[in-house]
Amino acid sequence: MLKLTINGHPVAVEPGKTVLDACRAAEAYVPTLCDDPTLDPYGACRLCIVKVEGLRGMPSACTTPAADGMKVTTEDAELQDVRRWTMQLLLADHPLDCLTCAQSGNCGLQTAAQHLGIRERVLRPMMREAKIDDSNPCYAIDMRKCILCGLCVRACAEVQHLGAIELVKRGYASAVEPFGGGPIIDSTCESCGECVERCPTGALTARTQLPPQKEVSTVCPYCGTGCRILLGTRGDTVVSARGDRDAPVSRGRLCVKGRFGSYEFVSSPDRLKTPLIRTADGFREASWEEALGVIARELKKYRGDTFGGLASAKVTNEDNYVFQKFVRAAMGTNNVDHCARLCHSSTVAGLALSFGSGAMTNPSDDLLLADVILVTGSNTTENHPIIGLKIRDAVERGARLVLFDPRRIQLAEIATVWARQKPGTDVAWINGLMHVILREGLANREFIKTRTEGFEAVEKVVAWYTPERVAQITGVPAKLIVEAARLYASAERASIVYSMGITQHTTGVDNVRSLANLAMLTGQIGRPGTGVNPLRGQNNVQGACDMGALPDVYTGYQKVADSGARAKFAKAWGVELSDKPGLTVTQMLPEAIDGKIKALYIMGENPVLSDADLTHVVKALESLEFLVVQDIFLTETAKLAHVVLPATSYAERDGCYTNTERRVQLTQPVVAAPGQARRDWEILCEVATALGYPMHYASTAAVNEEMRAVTPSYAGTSYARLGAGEQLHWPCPSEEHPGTPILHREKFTRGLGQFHPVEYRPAAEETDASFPVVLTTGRMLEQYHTGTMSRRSKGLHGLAPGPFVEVNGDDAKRIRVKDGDSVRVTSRRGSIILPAKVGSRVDAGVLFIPFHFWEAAANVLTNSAYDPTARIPEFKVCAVRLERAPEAAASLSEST
Amino acid sequence: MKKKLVKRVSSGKTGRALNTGSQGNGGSVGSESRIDPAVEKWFAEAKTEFSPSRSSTIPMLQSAQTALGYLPRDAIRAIARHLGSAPAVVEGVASFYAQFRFEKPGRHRITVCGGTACYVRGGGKLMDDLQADLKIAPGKTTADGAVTLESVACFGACALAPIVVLDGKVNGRVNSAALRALVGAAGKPVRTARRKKAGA
Repeated sequence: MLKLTINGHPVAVEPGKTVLDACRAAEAYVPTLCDDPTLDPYGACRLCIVKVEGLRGMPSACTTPAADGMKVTTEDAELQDVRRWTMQLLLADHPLDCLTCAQSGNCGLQTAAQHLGIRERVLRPMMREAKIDDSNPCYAIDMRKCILCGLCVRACAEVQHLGAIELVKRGYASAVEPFGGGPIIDSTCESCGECVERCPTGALTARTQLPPQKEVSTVCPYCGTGCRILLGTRGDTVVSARGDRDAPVSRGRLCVKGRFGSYEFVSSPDRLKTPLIRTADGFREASWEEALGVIARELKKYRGDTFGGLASAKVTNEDNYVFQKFVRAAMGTNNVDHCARLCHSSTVAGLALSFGSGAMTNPSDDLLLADVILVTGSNTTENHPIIGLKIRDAVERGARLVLFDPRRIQLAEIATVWARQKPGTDVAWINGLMHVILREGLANREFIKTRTEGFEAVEKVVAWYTPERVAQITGVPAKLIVEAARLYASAERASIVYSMGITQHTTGVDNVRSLANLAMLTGQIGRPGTGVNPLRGQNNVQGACDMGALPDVYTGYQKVADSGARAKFAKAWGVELSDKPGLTVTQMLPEAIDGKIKALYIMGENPVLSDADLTHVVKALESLEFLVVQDIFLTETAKLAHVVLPATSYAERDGCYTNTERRVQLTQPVVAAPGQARRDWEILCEVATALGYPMHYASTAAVNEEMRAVTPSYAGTSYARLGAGEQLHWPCPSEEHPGTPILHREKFTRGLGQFHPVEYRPAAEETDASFPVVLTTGRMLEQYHTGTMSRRSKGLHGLAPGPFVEVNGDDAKRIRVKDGDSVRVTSRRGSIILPAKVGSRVDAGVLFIPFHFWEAAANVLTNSAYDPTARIPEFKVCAVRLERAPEAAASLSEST
Repeated sequence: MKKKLVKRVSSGKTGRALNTGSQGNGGSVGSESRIDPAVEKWFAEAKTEFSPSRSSTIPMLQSAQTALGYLPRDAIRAIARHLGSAPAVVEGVASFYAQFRFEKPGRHRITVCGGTACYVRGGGKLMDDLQADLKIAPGKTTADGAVTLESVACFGACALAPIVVLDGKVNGRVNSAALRALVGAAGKPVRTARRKKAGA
């Protein structure tokens, strides 16, 4: 520790800290405008000048390293005089409209001026030309108020690694501008708002936020990264959101969805506030008593395997625990599933077979330790933006990125190798990589011998997959296969990151097992900076799986077919349990059409838009005798229900979420629930009780207690520990256990890692003369899933207002369409009309459509053919036809 | 040990204008809206001549301006890609220096001296006339691309004040009539067109 004296008071700071840090440690206020602890020191504003005994002049505290024995003065007449003149120069071209400025009360310039006792502007005002950039719907830019501190420019470069804006020109003409000086919306800006959060003045302000009275930290409701947001409130309205810098996963960083799209939907007037009961001509409002009465009366008829329940990856662990308990104990069936079926069921199945545990093996911060990162089937910077930033951080530090993706996603720009495989050919290139690794002697024979089994079969299979043959199948040049293999295998630490580009195939489990083979072949697993890392799509999809919202397992993946596990749960729940694994969501819906499933209870899901072949999904839901939907909005699915129940949003409930890294995070309610909305688990308890299976819990914590008592991997994750700020990754079998950030360290969960030979199989639907183009679907940065939450944000809506299809320039030319023209995309299941986005993001012969938009729902087209093991539909490949739409196409969407 | 491969490679057919890039070298400067062939020609040589480090920023900018007459956006994008930087960052550096131009210069360049001697002998009025005639501000180019108007603080030939420089040729003691003649010569579209034809 370095010992300094600040204004006569002793203070100690760690080496590497600055004089400014020491001043703050001594609680001496030093005015600053350009300092931010997350950015490198800059020394632009010249307000943090101090005097240091023995040093000449007045050095800026933020750029002067603290040294042992320094005697620092932060304030005297001379320092204040210099500061006052610096402030006067800043004020000379700054509007004094504080009363009507959005930043008032939170303005760094205002605070410093107050501190220095400035009461008037003494220099002749030299106002800058009004340059208001209104192009970004999330934030406003008023360059008259810019003080050129550089915080925004540095945040964009250092935090977001974008460099979308820069200080240009010099002298009076200096300004912050995007490349070319045009509107910000046309730049590479990702609207993350890191600049807005740091701007000390009103130059950059969030459009839909107000200064809050109080802030509460909670977990972001969007992807599975698990960033924490500080939601600001006024009474029961959420008015602002910013990153929580104490959060271990995100360290204060947020993406555009977390920062600008996480609060408007909470206080939307469209929120469900009372139970609704279907009538001949729509819905009528009902009391809880009446609604529960109807549900109890109806559901009594469907006890057993004619009933099914869909849990939710959006609600807490406690809600999901109670849901699956309700289905299993009160309704007497294992027909419980949720949307993880549609995203990562191949991972849960595949990695469990290979390693014994179907989850991300390493924490996301491990990416910073990797020398090589292999990303495939994950548009990380758009769909898990904060993990995407960690990849950018790693590349900035010298890690090399190997990317296999059919689309030219942003990561392609920073990849050392980018290979554009044909959709649905993943097993082939992964086998190709293994072929090269074995041929060139890069395999880790020691690891294979001591840690794994079944290697010989894989060796035999991959022998056929020479780079040349793989090139034939995948379209990736042989030399790239070789280079990717060498990079991955010869790295000291290499990490695999994948997502739905791998899992959403009829070969989803094969794809996952191939990646597991690759990691075991090279021993790139079980150590920091390595691993096989599936990125989970929703904020609690990991937790919903862990809680047993799956048809074949109870909590913690204890199998329903296992008599020991069944007996344990039967005893805990005081009821006989079915030993028959239930149906998946992809089976329940077809069986509904066949009349085998007669009633469904859906909590917080919107399968009408999210599931493959949605015409078929609607038909299935309409065939049901009874459908209950519990949600926060009247979604496309809820509109088909007989009874709709109003639930709480993430901002109104307490409980735990488990993020993609298996980290359990506790949250508190931020605001009160609207109207009569209730917590999901409370509703379920009432329904179960009305059905004659009493469920009562005093609190969410009591649910958690019961869950942990029957779930060994969660046993040690108590509210007391989580509330004290402990960071616990399951498995955490006892209160003393520190949690397990890295899986499979000494041995695999199943003992030896299981190699599994996989042959390449083509996608279920191949292109032919009538459907010659491959369609792949996915998400985009500015929207989320079926848009129920994100499309209610003005900012997100402004950035991404509607559907589009990415078309390669060559294909566009062939059918004579320009960027923005309407095209018709037709598959064997349906047809939609939407505008084309022409470019080179997709290759010729490939189309991409995001599935967020009901107006042109991508899932009208997708194929519901599914993986034989995981039963995940093939969202990523189907054969379609692309045509120019008739100019007078009146309706945006229609079915054939 | 296998040789470590650091070269940036990709199987993508066409490139998109680069947004960012923390690393990477070589590679082509692909773009959706076909990039300026002159830039492509210059960059093909420049990328081998300059090392991909930030210290190459200004030499590369100078090289581009020498070859192209100004710094088109495609050139800045190409430099950024070569240096593993963002285009906005390279533009930020370039815009700091008066020596770099960002707009295509006119076929003719008129520079009016605004130094003290020239000013008192009517240089200011000459400039006002030119702005009115050409309908452009100093530093700008006429819409037809014929003339770029510039001012200079002192040309250093005060004895000949007021000075107007046309395409590098210094004209001393210029009055309104002489100026008109000069501009007429420079801006005559007939003449320019004829020359173009002859060159085609």
